[in-house]
Amino acid sequence: MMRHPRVLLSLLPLLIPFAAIFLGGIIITVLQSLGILMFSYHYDDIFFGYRELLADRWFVESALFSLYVAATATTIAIIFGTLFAYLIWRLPHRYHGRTVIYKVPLILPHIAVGFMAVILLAKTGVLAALSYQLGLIDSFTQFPDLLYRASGIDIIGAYVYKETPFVMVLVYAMLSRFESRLMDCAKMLGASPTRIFFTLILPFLMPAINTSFIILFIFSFGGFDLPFVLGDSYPGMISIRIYDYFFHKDLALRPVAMAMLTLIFLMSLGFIIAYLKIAGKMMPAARKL
Amino acid sequence: MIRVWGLLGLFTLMFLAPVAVLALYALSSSWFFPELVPARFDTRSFSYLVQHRLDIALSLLSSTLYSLAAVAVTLIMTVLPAKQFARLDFYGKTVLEGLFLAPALIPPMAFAMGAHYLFLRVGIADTGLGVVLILSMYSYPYMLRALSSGYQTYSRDIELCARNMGASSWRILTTIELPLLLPAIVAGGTIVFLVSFSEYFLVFLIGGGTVPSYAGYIFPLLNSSDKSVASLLTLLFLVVPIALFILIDRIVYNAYRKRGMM
Repeated sequence: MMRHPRVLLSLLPLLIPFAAIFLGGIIITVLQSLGILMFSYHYDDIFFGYRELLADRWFVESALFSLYVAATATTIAIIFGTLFAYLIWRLPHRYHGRTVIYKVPLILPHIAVGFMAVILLAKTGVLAALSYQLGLIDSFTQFPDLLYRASGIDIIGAYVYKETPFVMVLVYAMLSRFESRLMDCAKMLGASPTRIFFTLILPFLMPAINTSFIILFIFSFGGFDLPFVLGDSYPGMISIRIYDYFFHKDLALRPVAMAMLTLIFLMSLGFIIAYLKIAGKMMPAARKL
Repeated sequence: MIRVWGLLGLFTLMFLAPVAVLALYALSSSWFFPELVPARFDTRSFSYLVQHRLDIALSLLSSTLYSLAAVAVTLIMTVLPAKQFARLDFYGKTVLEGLFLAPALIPPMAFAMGAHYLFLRVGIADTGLGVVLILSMYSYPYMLRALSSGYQTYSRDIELCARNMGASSWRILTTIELPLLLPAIVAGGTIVFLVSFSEYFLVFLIGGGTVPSYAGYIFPLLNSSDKSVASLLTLLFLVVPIALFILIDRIVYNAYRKRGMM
């Protein structure tokens, strides 16, 4: 307790900008969603934004679509990422360095990955050409519509490409602290590789997997750059709806955008609480965030 | 060996092949369905690059500068707090630690659109300062995490020893802590740089088009019909970070060798 003033003092460089920009930003978002601080506009009904939002079926559909895209993309990325990291870890140690190419998508911005998805998945794109050459289709009209559709395959594919290496980094870091004698022991006792993976490795990795799930799920749920490059579609991601309300509609409708943001913020908060519960169980060194 | 090559093959196909497709597009003059490789190659996209070299260089430079500034700002913001989190137990530590991670977890739109209003009022909307601040706010948790693990890798006895011998806090920070934290700073700085350099929306929102950014420069081109130029410019996205990583790697290596720490 003696140290308290000093602790507080050294937290200030972070505390001040955090309170001013992050908390301040959130507070303004919430206030504007209630029609307060809305420049010269005045709203008699402070729930105007929320009423408009609930009356907008498009919003509900976008929210559901975003949930579906985020859940699907994150689940696939976690399955791939965990499996790949495990396969790297099983290689003789001297080969681990060579697999570094998997980190390329980490350097590519989301807008670049979105552009790559268009090139690959378009009806006359590279995958269509490949299917034609393989004799799977006779003309590009037979290639399935993958872009800008309610299936969301373009967004999901792009997120999987971008997020799989992220999972690999976190899971690999966790695996490198796994006691490999446990595995030798299981082998000696006659456990099959599949059994070892599911009863020994996977439970050990669960904290890293849970952490990745929460981070990536929230990110792909509310991310803007990627769906923005991929262009508008129906129902489209929720971030695009917010953008439309914020920039393209009448300024008087801004509380609706802010109400959407407030709801997204509250949802994310629920996820963060879950994250903390899980992260608390992890060893400090394992948390790369 | 089969397992090694199998895995490398899979990674090449999954992670590198899409980039290779970009390279093919960048070199092609026309690529129509159903050709697997472009029928004709030319250097048209490169002449575009030469023609617009000033705009491209300016936007790349601006993105590099504000991203580096974000690295510096996040370092200043987190170096002292990270030490408290790594070394001390105090009331409310867990809650505070969790709270400080929030900006990287919740969608940045949620606070950035509100912060935009604040920035307008203070007069730093549409300025480089505003862009650096919003990017720092979004990315500092990565620096905070990296630094607090960094502090945990060495014993605080070193510091106590220096203090006993009469070193000031500033001297301890600059001659002991920062050099020992260098790997953690590089690790955290890499993520902060990449996040800032790649970001399109936050720079567009807070910069308002007056702060040039490479992402903002190429965005309209990504939706144009000229896939060749767009591909080449997208590949350019990889160049600055990779060049910078190699440079930093050399600098850190040399700095450590000079001090005899390697």
